[in-house]
Amino acid sequence: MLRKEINDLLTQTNAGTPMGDLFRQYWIPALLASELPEDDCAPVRVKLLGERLLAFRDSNGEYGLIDEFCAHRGVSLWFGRNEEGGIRCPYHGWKYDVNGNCIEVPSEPEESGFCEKIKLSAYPLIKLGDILWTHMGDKDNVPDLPKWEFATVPAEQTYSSKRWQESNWLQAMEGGIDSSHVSFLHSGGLKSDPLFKGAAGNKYNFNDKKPVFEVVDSEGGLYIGARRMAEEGHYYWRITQWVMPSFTMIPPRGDHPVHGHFWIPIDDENCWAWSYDYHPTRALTDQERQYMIEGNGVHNQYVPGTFRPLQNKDNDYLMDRDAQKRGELYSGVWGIAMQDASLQESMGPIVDRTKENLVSTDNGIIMARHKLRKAVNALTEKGVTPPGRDTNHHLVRSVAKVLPKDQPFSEACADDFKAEVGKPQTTV
Amino acid sequence: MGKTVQPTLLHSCAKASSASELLFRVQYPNSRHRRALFLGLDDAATDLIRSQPAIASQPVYRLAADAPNQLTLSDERGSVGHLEALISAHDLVLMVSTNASQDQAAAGIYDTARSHNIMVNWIILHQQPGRRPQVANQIFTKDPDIIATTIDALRIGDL
Repeated sequence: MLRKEINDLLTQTNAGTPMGDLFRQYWIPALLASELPEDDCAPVRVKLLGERLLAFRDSNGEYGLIDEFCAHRGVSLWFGRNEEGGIRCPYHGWKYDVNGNCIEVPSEPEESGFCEKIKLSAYPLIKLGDILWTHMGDKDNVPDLPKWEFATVPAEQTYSSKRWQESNWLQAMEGGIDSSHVSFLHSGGLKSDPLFKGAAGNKYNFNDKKPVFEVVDSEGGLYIGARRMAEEGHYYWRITQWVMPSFTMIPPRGDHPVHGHFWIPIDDENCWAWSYDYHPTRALTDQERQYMIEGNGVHNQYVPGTFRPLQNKDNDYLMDRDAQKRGELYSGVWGIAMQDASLQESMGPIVDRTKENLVSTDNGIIMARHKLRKAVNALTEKGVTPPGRDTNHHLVRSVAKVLPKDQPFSEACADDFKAEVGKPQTTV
Repeated sequence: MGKTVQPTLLHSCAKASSASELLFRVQYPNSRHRRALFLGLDDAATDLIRSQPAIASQPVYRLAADAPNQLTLSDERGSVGHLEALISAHDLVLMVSTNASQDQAAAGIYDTARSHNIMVNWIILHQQPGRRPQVANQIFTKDPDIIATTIDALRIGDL
């Protein structure tokens, strides 16, 4: 259960809200780099943290993320012409550069200097890995560039996708740190998904469906450990990383690429579910990359030409009752990503947490909410920099490991948790 | 993707969810009050639990110092009882420790609770890694405010 005032605090991220201010402390994923593939290409409408924005790439290859609407009469600049160093409003020809500066008002005498008085809001947009990142906070207090390993390994080792999720960001993110649902909802995927199946550790998931959880503070957020029975005298540990505000890394399975998510609010009732897969020491195979493109693992298929999942609430997520009955798909929905999204969207646009009944296996969720609330309050009341902004907090790995029963994972896996170039992942 | 069944119009109205609908979609209350046994494994932990305003009317137990291995508990009035006798009147155990002195007792508490099918949550407010028993679902943090958060989250505060 979460009190209404705290639920409101954590789920509302528009400009001027405390949680919105927290998100604006970080570099967040804004677009796939492939959405702006070349200089002077078509601009892209972007909505983040409740703000309507326009992303474009100018004639010099500079990326810009500015207010979507022209300062003159409020026309959407998405209809504009991206040409000669700026985006030009098609209505009366006002033109803006990547920093939101108005650089031309054709109807006014050039010498009047009128356009110098016009400026749209603008945020930095930088390419790191296959993603364009933005920082929507204080321009005088920009954090160092992100160091997430998936975004800094060579291009052939990483793959990212994004999908529109029709729910608030928090219930989506909570799914990513709720390891207890894996034994049920995703049980079919461990046997059939080409990016999950075949790992030696999977047998422990099948044999022990009642994992016990240990949630431990980390510098950037939490380690969420799930232990299952392994061979005599040993436990199989799967330790998820959660780094504030919304980064997760799921433990690896065998030599499969490791994956995880960012959940970024579009507005209070929609979010982007960013999904990445990477391997820290080798290139993804063509087959693996193809599986990802086809929507396997944590990725999904799309309504053509959109980032809306092919399986969505308008078609009941293409629910397959026969497969559910046969036991192939626990919920009848195909694919790990849409198994999660279908249920999280079914909770409603913003779930009312005052009515939920949590149990002790929800400790990860309880702790994450607690840490978010404290960070929001510390930022609002004292200006304290929140965890996860320090780029050292980005250099993390999730871990799958068999340990002697009396060995705490926080001690035994201390080195495994650190991302280092060329270091093999710790996996079973 | 396997063979799919197309949705029917019969379900279409159920898809029209809105934020305001969530205010009435779940009948509430939808659970009975859970009776928690609050247990401090050491003095400091016991004091921390007893300082929680949300459970002012509920007893908080500590391990009786004279018989830690027999899982004898005492409340703030000095009443002494055995865990085995007390536990069956509860739905879950929330135990807290600030040091590792009673880790083995924690294992015994967990075993007793499990034999009664009672959930155990253990909040550990110290950072000595140690070889503590891997029992119960554990929260490992330096932040004592997590006690109040957990009481709220699990709905085990005073009625």
